[in-house]
Amino acid sequence: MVIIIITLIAPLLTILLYYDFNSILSSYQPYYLNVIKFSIFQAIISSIVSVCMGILFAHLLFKHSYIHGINSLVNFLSFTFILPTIIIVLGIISIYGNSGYLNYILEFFDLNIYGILGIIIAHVLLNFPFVTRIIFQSLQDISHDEWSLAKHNGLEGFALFKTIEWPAIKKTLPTILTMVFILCFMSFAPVIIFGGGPNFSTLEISIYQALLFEYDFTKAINLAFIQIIICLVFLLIFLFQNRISFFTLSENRASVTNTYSIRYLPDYLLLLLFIMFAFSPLVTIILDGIQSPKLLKIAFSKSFLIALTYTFIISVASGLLSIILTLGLLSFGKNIFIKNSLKRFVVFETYIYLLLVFSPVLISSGFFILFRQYLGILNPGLWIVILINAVFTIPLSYSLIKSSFYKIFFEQDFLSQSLGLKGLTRFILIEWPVIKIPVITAFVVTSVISTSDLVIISFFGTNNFSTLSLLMFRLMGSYQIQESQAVALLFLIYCFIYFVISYKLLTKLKIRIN
Amino acid sequence: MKNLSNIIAVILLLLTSSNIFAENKTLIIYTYDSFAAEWGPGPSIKSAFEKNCDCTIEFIATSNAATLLTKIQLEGTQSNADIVLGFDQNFLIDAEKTNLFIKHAIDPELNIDWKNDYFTPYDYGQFAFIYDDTKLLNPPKSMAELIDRDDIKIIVQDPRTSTPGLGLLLWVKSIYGKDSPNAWQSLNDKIITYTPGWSEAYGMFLENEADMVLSYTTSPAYHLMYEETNKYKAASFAEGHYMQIEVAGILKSSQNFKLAQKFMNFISSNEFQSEIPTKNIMYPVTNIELPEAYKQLTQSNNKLLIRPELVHASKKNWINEWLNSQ
Repeated sequence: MVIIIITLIAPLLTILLYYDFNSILSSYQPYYLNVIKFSIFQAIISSIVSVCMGILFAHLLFKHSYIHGINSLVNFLSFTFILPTIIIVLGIISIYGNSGYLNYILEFFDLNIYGILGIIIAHVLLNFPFVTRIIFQSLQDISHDEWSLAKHNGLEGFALFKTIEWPAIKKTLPTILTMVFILCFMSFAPVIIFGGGPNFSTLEISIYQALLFEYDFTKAINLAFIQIIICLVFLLIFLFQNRISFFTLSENRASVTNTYSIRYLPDYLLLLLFIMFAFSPLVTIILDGIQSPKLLKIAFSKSFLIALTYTFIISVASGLLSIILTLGLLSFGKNIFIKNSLKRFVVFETYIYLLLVFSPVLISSGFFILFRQYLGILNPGLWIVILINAVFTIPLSYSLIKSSFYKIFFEQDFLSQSLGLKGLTRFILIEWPVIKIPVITAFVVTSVISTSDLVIISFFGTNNFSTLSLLMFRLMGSYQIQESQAVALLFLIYCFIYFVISYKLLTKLKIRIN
Repeated sequence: MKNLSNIIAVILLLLTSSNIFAENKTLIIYTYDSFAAEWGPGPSIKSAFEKNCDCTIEFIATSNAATLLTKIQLEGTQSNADIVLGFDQNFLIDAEKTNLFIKHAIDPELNIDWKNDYFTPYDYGQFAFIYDDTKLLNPPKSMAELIDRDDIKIIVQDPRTSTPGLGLLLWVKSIYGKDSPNAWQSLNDKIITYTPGWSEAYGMFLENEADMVLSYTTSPAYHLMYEETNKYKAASFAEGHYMQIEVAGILKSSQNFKLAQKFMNFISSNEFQSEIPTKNIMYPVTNIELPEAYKQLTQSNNKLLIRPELVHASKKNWINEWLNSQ
């Protein structure tokens, strides 16, 4: 808790030193009112579409999880969410853009990727696979007993979905909707690029402009403040819908008893369509990367190896730190829940999701001012990048772990207490085995997201300190598109290996008590 | 306690004195990263300069030119940097007003008009629309023609977040003056989209997303020199092309003024300037022999430029004017 508070409060206070209280209203312009209206509108549509598609996709994946490789597929679903937005954006353009592979579909309907439609497609593509990932997780937490009971009563199809799956999904919805809403509300590159003009804009763009182009801290803070207030309102609306209810006591995880069958053909086709849609932005990364004549040259260059090393360090350190902080918060939340009312618990969760609302540009600037004297001497840049990323990814790891964590806690609380298990022992014996998979997922997701970041690192990166995504962006910025396509592919391969190794190693990890 | 502070004082004295007597000084230059990168002009300029001085150059790079000035402002008088190299004339007055820079007191011979006590230019470019001549067979010959044509789609950068974007805003302003809002309204039909920076726009253009992209007259030289293709051309506009002049200045807080001044003079040397066309893909500010690829480029003699003072005073209004003419 202390770390998180310091990470946020210290830079904010530093920035407030630069705040000119005499001009609180000076930066107000009618333009921002339109920006705000539009941001809210597109964020609502984007999050609803992402969530609906996520539910359907997760349901199908879960129903057919007997299909070989489905579980690994689910793990890789977060790829579009965690890769640098700019690669995904360019990927989307090369598929759905004016000369994209699938542009004829849009053309057929006389549509164009630029404009509100483009913004929504981009946001859905960026977010729905991750939404699917979280919902799939919550479906896995349905106990075996419930399934067998439902089957025993002859529930099938929609009735089965409604009575068994929907309650499990419903619990995660407020969180997911809030998260996706905030992410879309604060989105930067996709909105400028697909918006087609400044009429479609978000406040984050203006914050960026005020900080980096106008050096106008007062304006940046004013806008950030408006942004925080709006998100807070939505957070509270969503989170107060949160009803926490837990199911029957059971150790058994659900396992689906379906097998391959011809009558599922429509399902299979739909699944295939979803998979193709979810992974479509990655197609170009792979194709362009393989075709890049610079692939081998770049893979052995000094700048690539430096970037790879730092990417690895940041991945592991941010991922671990994020998980440790999240687990701390989870047990803190558990205590609040036991001792206090549901209301307090909701306030606590609001704080966590509020982390999403702090503009990374603003926080990074604050940190930069704080540490400016030391930059270049001790290279604190690396540690700051790790710390900021770890804290900013807490809401993601929290949302990935929480359903399993709270469920197992409430299910096993009685048992643990009767056995006299406490603290770490209890955590290792009771909770760890159940939350292991979500924790690993959260670890890999936060790891890679931390290295995809381009905003925080742009403040602290130097020639000898970069990450793969920064290198890719640098290459793009100096005409070396082919080189940057090669790095994008190598980054994708890095993520893939990181995912596979983390799952393989960590699932085998058994903590023993002597 | 007294002992401890004595010890610290002695250590500090030793540290500082060892700096004073050290022959090898370090000159710290803040720049943007495509300048300092291993493929940029930085490394060869560093070694050329170090040959003639008992010193080391250290480049500290930010991700883009705009962040550079913000970084200096954030660091204030505590900056370690001696020289800042990399922002353009549109940020000149902002930089002067920070009161962080010192007069350079040098007088280099340049091929462009330049008079400023604080900053000296190291290269310049002209904004232009780049097209693929295998795909766009009849490019527009003027801004007016581009505005009138309805068969051309272009990608440009957002003036709020990108230097070329701001360049286009000023380009239109310098041609159309008070009529700019009307010009923008017609221009908007051609603009597929705005991007946050140059990289996204150029990347999208190379993916054939548009007929033309806003970049520099020198961009085709990169493709000629490094990819051996001459299909990318800069459309030459009758009204002229807007200039971007990139400058360097010495910080007041620098402890190495003499050395910094030596570097500022070095900027207009042949050794420095000859790295610019091939590695920064911009024009040199002295009359050196240009590489073969540059001889194929069309350079406009009508160099448009709005006085930095006027840009500084009106930038906000002009951006708002552009926002309102959407």
